[in-house]
Amino acid sequence: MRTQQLERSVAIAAQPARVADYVELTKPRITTMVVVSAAAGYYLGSDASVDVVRLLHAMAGTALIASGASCLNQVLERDSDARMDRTRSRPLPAGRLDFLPALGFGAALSLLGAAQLAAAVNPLTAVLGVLTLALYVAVYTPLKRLTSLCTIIGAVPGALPPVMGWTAARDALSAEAWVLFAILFFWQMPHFLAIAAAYRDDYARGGHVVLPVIDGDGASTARQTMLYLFALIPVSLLPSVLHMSGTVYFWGALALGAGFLAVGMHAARDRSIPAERRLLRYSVLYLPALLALMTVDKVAA
Amino acid sequence: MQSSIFWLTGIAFFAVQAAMLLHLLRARRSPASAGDEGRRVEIVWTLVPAAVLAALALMTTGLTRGPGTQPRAGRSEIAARGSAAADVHLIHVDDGATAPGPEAR
Repeated sequence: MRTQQLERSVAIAAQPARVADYVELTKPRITTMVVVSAAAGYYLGSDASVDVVRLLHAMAGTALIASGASCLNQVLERDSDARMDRTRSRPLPAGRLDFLPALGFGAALSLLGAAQLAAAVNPLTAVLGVLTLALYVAVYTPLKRLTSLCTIIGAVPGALPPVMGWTAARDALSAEAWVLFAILFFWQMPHFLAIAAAYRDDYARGGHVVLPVIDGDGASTARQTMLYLFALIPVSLLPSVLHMSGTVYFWGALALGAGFLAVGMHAARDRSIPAERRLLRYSVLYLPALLALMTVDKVAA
Repeated sequence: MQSSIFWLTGIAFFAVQAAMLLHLLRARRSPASAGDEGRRVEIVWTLVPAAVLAALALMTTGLTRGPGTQPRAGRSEIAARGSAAADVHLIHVDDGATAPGPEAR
């Protein structure tokens, strides 16, 4: 068995880098969700007519920055990724890509994204994009080895994409943009805590100081999951309260939030891996459903 | 009704937060508790949502207005002005004052 594993590792290491490996560095699923949330922010921030060209530029720039950030994150975490079952087959820990080309790729994507936003959208959105990148790569990533508060700090760059979409449409920040920020901020907590709880041992192997790893009996994780879910519900209703979206959104958000709370409560009581994975699955469905409702029921400009 | 539900959900959050803070502070005071550092960290975790919501409440009630903020007229304001299709945007001008913009109908 060990001989087979060794042979497999050697075979993987011997493969030349493929386009698919570079694509994998960009974390396509996460990047897609980032771009979708930015697009939602743009649409909500737009007046009656949506400038589609600018929207496409905003989406492209956001995608480039998000891809660059994901890539640079994997460069920085290649050693801990090699220790985790979830991530050891990624291009860098598996040896399919070297450190320098990956670093160059990530830097190029990030620079291109910032340049695109500055030139084709507006400087404010470019600044927010660079801030997102800096917070994710230079603050959140190193802090993952030091304190569980990294999750809270990491939620800030995670919540900025819809704000970027908003500023791409309006070239200004406003209270509504911060409402979108808050929704994404609070959503990330139960989402990420579910991931970390479901893969707690793996995160511990990787040396990541996340709440479920340092929380022996799962009680703190359960409490914080519930607290952030209780915070998410009123915040998710704010778009209706502020007349960004209408009545259909209000009731839809309330129903989605109640469902999220119910699944979260079950995970908090049960504290089993299947329950955490169920919470994770719900969180993955919740956000796109909420954003879709928000955009479909947007209050007409 | 929507307003009432919104405030109820907000109250529920603050009640949960208060209960949680109380629990954590009491646990901290109990003697020789292993994991004191962990409880300090969790207190920070617990306070963050309230801080974010407080900042959001300030912003959305218009108590803080920075450059470029563009408040949007609510549906009740639009109805009061008798224009179903209008959406008034206030723009920032150089002297820091705000004035109705060209989109005002």
